[in-house]
Amino acid sequence: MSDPILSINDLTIAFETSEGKYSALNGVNLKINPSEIIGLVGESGCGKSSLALAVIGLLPVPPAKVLHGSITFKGDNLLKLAENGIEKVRGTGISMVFQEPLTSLNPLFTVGEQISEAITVRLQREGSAHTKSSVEAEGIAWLRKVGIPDPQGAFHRYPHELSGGMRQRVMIAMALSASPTLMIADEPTSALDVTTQAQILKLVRKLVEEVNASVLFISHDLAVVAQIADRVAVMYTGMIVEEGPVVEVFEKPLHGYTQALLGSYPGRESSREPLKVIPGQVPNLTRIPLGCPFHPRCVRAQDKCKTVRPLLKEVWGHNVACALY
Amino acid sequence: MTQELLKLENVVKYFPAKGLLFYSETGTLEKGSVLQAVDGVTFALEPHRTLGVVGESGCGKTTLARTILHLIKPTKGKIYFENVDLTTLSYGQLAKIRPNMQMVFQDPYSSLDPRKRARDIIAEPLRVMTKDKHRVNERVKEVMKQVGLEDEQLGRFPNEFSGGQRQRIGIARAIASKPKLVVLDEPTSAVDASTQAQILNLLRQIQEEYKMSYLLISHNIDVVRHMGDRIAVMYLGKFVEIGPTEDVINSPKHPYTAALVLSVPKPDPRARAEMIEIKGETPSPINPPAGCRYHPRCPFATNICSQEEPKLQQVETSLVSCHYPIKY
Repeated sequence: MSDPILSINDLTIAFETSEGKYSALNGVNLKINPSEIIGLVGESGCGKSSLALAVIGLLPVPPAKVLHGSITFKGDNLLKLAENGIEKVRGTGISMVFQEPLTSLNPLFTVGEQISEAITVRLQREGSAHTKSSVEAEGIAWLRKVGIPDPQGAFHRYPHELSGGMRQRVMIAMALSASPTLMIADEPTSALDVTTQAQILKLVRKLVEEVNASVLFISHDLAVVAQIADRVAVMYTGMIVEEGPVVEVFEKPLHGYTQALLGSYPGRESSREPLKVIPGQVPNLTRIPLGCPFHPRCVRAQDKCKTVRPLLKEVWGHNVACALY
Repeated sequence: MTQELLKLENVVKYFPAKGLLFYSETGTLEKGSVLQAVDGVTFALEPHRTLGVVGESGCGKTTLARTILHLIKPTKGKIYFENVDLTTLSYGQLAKIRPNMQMVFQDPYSSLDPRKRARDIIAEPLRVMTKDKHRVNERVKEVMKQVGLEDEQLGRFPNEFSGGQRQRIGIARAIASKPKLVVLDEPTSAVDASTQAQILNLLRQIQEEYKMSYLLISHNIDVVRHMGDRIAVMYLGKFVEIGPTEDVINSPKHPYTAALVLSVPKPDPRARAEMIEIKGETPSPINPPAGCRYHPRCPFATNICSQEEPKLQQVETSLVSCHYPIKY
């Protein structure tokens, strides 16, 4: 097995706000191997997006503060790179697709101008010769690749002239045109309809295979992650509580939280039985419970769960942070 | 035969899109272009039943909901609530019926007045009905308890509640007047998975207590499947299929229903191969395709589909509008 392209070690990040200090990430460990799609799943506020922003260097510091840990990408600690250092990593090394394609595309520039910028930056860095028309040809080729009908026309249009699904295709084209080693996709299909979502998921799978990139795919939707990921990491209160191959985690969930999340999914089979619910609510990040953060809501919690915070360890083929194993 | 609580006959809602819109006496459009949000919807809903309406964004689900409750007037068609045609009623007459038909909105952040306390939000529909403050207070406390909120939370403002709790307040407000019909417009699409299960269970539980009917609007087939007795699939302003929930989901007759059902991702990594996709995108409701509105995207379309609009017809247990319904 080759070395991971990205490894996050014991990453702990806190935000200091007027309401107090809250920890967004609490000792996160995660490795991403070459050409692998990792699904990162969790409910809102669990720290999924903070993790993505930390990797690409977009976390606002302050209020965010890295307390300890490291993010190593191809041998560089991303947290130690200065601003112009991370510029080199962004784009060619790591690119990002955001949730809401309308707010992440610039409304004042055409699709073509925006995708050309990404391509030009890459070509300049590679030191390749390029002309305006060669960049345009490549941009149009990318738009065709992501399945946009009439790519020439779309190249000269503004983002508002495209539908949500088409805009997200443009975002993916821009992210991949920079030929990244790692693409981070933060809820890329959450703003889209199911039929469009199915198209985009299929497209992401096909393209990352073609360009040999790894993907960190973030979603709140277990079903979406089940469809796309090779490996899954489940996050709760800024911690990864379970991690492993997708089939393992979905068929043999070990952590109480993963089991409860899967159990609360409606419509698995036709039943008029009440859904299984997780009692209580996700705790406020300023007051994460001692011990296992899930113990107040866990049906299997024991006394030791209240005092000892379990670390991720291997149990039956995948990793889980639970004191019961 | 059961008495219908709600019956729609050929309900149409058009919005002016470009230029001026004139509707002549004969019901034909004279000028300008229109957005055909809801175009000829007919169905009936019995007491203590749930009809789920699924469709993608822009298909007209929410417009249909608002039209039924007369928050907006239909362009054409009849809406009967307990055999009274709402379209003929005056504002004052409608106000008398409103306590019987309530709505839970999609976004619990924008549908609660941020400057009102929970108590007053829930009491508002009751204060329209009675001046008796004591009775209003008692009822508010009762429904708060039913939706799982504490008495001490009555004095709080919406921003002090979580998303799930806010949706509970929205539900409490809707059931306070003991309605016979509640329209649920995407009641869980703004909350997390674990909260969604709590809200759906709550909705089912109070439906049993009050023997209410639900019209549940959702883009999420799994949610509708869990809640609904019957399901209607909407595409570009029309019902393309309506029937018993399990029949529609397990043996969809309309090609759009089939594609929609198969596009829904399953929380099962081994079910990947099942996922199929529809080609192209939903056309604009301003100039919808002639004939069957789905024909440009349909793998089975022939000439007749682009010329003649299919009527809703009985196919086994469902009503389907397709020239070539899928046979099993």
